[in-house]
Amino acid sequence: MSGKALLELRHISKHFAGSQALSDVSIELNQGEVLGLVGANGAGKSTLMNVLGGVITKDAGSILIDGHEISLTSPSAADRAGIAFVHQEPALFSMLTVAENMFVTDYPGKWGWIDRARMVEACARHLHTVDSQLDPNTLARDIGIGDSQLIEIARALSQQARIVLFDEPTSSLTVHEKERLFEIIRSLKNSGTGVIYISHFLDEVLDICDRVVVLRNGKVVAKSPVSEMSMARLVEEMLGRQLESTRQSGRRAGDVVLQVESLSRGNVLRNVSFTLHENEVVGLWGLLGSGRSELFRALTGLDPIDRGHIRMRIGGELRPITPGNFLSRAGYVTENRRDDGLFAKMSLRPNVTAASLWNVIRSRLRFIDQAGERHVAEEVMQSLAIKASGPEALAETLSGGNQQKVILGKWLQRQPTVILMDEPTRGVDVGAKAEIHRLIGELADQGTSILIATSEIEELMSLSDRVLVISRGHIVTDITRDRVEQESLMRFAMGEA
Amino acid sequence: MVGRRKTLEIEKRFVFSYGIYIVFAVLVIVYAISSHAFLSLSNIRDIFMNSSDLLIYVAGLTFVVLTGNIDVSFGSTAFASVAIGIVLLVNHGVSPVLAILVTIAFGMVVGAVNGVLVAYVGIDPLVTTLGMLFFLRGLALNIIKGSQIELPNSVAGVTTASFAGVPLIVMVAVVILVVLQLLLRKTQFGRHVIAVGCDRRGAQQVGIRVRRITFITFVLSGTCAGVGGILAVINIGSVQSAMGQNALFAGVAALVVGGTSLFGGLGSVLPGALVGSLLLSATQNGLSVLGVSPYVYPFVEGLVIIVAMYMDGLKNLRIRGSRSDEVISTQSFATKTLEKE
Repeated sequence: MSGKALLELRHISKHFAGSQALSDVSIELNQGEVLGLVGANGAGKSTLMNVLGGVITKDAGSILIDGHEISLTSPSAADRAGIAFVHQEPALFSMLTVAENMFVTDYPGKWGWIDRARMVEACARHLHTVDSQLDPNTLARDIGIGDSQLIEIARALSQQARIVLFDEPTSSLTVHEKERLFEIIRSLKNSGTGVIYISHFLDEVLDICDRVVVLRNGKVVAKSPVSEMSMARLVEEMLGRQLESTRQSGRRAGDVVLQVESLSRGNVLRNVSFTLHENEVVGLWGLLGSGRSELFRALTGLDPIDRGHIRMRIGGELRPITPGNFLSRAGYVTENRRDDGLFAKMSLRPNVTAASLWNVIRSRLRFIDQAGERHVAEEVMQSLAIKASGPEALAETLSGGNQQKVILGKWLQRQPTVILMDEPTRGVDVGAKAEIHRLIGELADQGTSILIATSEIEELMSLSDRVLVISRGHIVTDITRDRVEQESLMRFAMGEA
Repeated sequence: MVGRRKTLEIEKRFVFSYGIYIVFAVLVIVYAISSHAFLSLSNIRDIFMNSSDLLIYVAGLTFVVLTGNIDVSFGSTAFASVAIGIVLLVNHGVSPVLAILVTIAFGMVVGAVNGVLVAYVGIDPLVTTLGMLFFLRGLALNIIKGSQIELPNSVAGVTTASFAGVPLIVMVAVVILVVLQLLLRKTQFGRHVIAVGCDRRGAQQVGIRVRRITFITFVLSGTCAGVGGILAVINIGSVQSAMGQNALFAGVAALVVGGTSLFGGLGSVLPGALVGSLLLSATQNGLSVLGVSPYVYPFVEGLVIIVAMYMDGLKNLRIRGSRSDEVISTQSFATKTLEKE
């Protein structure tokens, strides 16, 4: 590197309970440069950005601006250092106006008194620089995501930020908004601002960035000018050698057990059709907001559907089933286990029987057979190898992996034909993850059909027999695992097909 | 079909935004038709005078509720503050000005204690202020020993003081309301209060000092309770053991009727607190002008609070509803927020 870099990260490390989120990461950003930062989920991108944004503090390493070390202990420290953030989903205060949001930490005026005329005028001026026609007096709740991002960018400009971080800025933008954003980034670059651009969309990275840094498992695995980078190499660096490590399960998919046809809900799900078979794990792959969770919610009747048919194998033949009845023969491991998967304040015992309470109701007076319930809980603990002090352990005291097993155990009591799992290993440690993967494999071997939504490529590749790719509420690809190759992974990474 | 739904939506918006005025107008018309006395100048003066303390309580409470917290202690705070003030004034010969200052300062201190417990110690605001409610009522009853203490003759003139036909306490209340509204709408503090109520974590992330803002709102509420208590004493002319007992009901009802959401982020001092308090006060005044049995009062007031809560709920539904439209148009905003968490 010739001269002083605008921003230099030296040997940054960050350790979270149980995992090394960042290890020895060194990155430099020059004036007027757009640096792409890519990596699979969990590679450490957000941790790195949070360190830069002052949201979390690093364990080791140093951050230098213009060659001077700075300390980023709070978001306002990052502000002062001239680092601005443009979030994927800008968090604006819904009941404040555009102008009030833009200057929320430093209103123009004296003694805490807001000079409204000046604020509105300044806001309009900054909005103008990003080519936005927004009225500064509009309430934030009335504007869309694209405009919200423009407000954040305008705010960054107003603070004369020298470094602007874009975190997945385009995932919810329309084509037109995206073009406008790129123009803004180019003009930032021309004015000497340093830009860090994080994205899953590799074509965008290759298009807009000067250099690209690839993170994998918290380490920098590649750094190079985009001119020397190809899409294929980027994917390879992001995934490491996971592609080769894919192993075959040797399972044979059986009869069709679930058939979904033209399931639609507004713009969220559009004509979703697919089938699931016995003895099969099907991966549902999609980016944030692609409709993965929405599909599960629609199938299970949590969200209303506009139209579509669901058929399930019941007593040997496919019969229509309504979303409201779907869960009578299926299990649903939700994405957010603490909020909607588990009764956190209850012990393991009632958690396990919650979805099949009729099995433990013995007497005519409909009392719950406590001993029977205990017995069920003990059985589940044993068969799923749940580590807990006993059936009376409070659910919230269990580790993430064990909680997930309790939830799975709950649904297994129903002997489900189909199990839906939404990000079943998010936030669990590596050991528990492997165990959950093993359980999923065993269930499929025993005949259950499993649909698992995941955003981790590694998980997708090691678990699924077949992969459905969902993008913008539409199933765009349905391929068997042996055909899931680099080429198709690239399409996933771009979210296009 | 779609067009029709849209007009319905606009009608609904109208009813929810102006529902309170419609209810108010209907109430006034019904009372006015039933009794000529209701719209007389002296009766209108009564309505304002009797609601002057409530106005102040509600205005202070508005700030606390806007941040998403609650303060239920203001009635007892008012009672305890004026109990101390009047005992100083009557039994210890303290000057009226000093007694007033001590009264207000006591309210401020109570607010500060609430604020510290909620913002810095982290106790649930309902629990904190509920405890404070009982504690202060006990304290006040002990101070006045369960008796009724009249304002001394030397200062009794203040009860009837008025300028240009407007009673002193009404003027004081209106001035304070205007000041608080300016504080809410025109200052950085006011904007931060709303920001905290909209999204506490988001506020923290942009560097708003959420704890300090929370603390200040409780101090404001406590101070307003002290001031409101003084206005109540001037209006009634004495301090007795039942003081402030109905303040909680009336205050929260007036707040919600005035359009402030108990979930935070949404609400105002003007017109919110003013209209809410006046409506409640007018409801009661009308009943008494009509000579309805006092046993009916709670019945009607209860009805008013239920209708008010219903409207508050609808308003939140409306906000949520407009958001869910966005979900469909811009590809699942809500779920993505969820996924991000």
